[in-house]
Amino acid sequence: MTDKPVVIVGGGPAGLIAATAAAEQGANVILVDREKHAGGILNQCIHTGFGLAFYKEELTGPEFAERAAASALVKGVKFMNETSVLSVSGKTVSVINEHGVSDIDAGAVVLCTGCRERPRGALHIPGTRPAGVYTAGLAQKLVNIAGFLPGKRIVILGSGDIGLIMARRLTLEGAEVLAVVEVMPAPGGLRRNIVQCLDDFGIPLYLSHTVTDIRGKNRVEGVTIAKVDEKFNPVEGTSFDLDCDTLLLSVGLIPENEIAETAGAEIDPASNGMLVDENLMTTVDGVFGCGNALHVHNLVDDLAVEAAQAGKNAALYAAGHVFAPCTIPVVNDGAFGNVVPARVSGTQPAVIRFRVRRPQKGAAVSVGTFSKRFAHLQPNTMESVTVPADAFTDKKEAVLCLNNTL
Amino acid sequence: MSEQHVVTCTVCPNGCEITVTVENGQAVSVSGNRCKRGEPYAKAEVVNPVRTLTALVRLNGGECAMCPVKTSRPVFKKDLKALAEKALSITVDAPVRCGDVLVSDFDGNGADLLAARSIGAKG
Repeated sequence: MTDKPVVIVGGGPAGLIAATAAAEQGANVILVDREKHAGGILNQCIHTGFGLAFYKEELTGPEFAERAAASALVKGVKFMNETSVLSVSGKTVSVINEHGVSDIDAGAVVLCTGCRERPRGALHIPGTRPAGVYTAGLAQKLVNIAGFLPGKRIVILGSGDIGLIMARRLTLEGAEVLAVVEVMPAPGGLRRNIVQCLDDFGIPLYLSHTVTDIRGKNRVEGVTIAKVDEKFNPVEGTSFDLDCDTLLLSVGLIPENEIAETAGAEIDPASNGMLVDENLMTTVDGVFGCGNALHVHNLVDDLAVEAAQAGKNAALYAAGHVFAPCTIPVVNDGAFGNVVPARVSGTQPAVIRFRVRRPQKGAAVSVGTFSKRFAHLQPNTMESVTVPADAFTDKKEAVLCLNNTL
Repeated sequence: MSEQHVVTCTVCPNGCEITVTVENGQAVSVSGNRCKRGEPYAKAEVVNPVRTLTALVRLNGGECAMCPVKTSRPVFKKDLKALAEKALSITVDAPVRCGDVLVSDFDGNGADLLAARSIGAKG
């Protein structure tokens, strides 16, 4: 039983930390990653702000990745780099690399496949299709890894954290960032990033605005920006043009679950994340999920806690541990954008992670007989509550409720 | 005369709104910070703001074209652009180890420029 390995799919922060946690339980762990070097997206996130909670030290992305990979190695995790997972069937993981296709017979699988950026095609922006439209993360890779500046005069659509970070990066590397344009009335990224990435460099932020046209034949020559109303429709007479050679898109991240689908794991159609129970097991027995493939996190430090739980549980499962059946569905009362997990057992404390749909001041989040008060809740910030087992008094469903306490 | 400034702390993702009381050009007290690290940040922010710079240097013969770098301690905010430009004019030979001092006293005020990733030589 215990000889079968725990297979971790993905070598980003979630995969590295899940692998380490599984190995700490004594499991034989194989981490499969398509890249040559572990660390995933952290390697292109050269800014600081990582590790404060997890390593008690402020690190850059590559530094965090290097520490996480070193810990995994020390704990005996075996790395299969430059190897892609083709599919997962039952607990058989089919992989391909330069030696060909092979199958790994796993005792448990943890899917740590991360997320992808929402592309231009999902936005319905009118205009031509010139070169010079990039997602923010692609621009980040071009600048920080490959050493290319994607343009000289740049407009950024969307105020997600990657877009804000790139506004600063591109400015520091010699480009001019003309504007960050956000369709919502509030920024998508963290407040600190507005301050240190935009305000520090005098980059204007246009809230409740969007890009209504992209101009240019071979290369982007300019964009048209307009104010939007409450229904996000452009307001006539408010549009203005900016001449630029590049448009970056920072308009959201979507969990990447193609491999989870091959395993037959149920996906939440609203978030595109895997549906998991309180142990972070998907709807497929022995297949676990964590990290941005489950729901997109703000902070790698929070993600690390979740990933460690998934890795530990996968190791327990592989060693023959049987978890209490999770028969109580967790129900969103409608105030939350996303709630993880989807099911709990009511026999152990459960961590419930969520985002609110609208900003809240002085609100309480409750489940069963448990309630916790929050001074502020923001849609751009994931929060969590740890609900004790005896709070789940209703065995038919556990409704996550938001109550204004002001 | 005392005056009050509100600054958003960027030390950690909490992003506290900190009120700093300034008397005669000196930051005398702060409130609103949820941890003690906010105090020196907020005081410096109204007098002479500082930031840790992360930037890139070119890598010669490495597995990547660029090596991420950071300053060993915060540098003056007003110098960020010039220092990033200076970093980009530097080429170092692979391999580099994370934490290697690439340039000592990079900003003229005692902050060293450190490699922030280990990158091997190509081939």
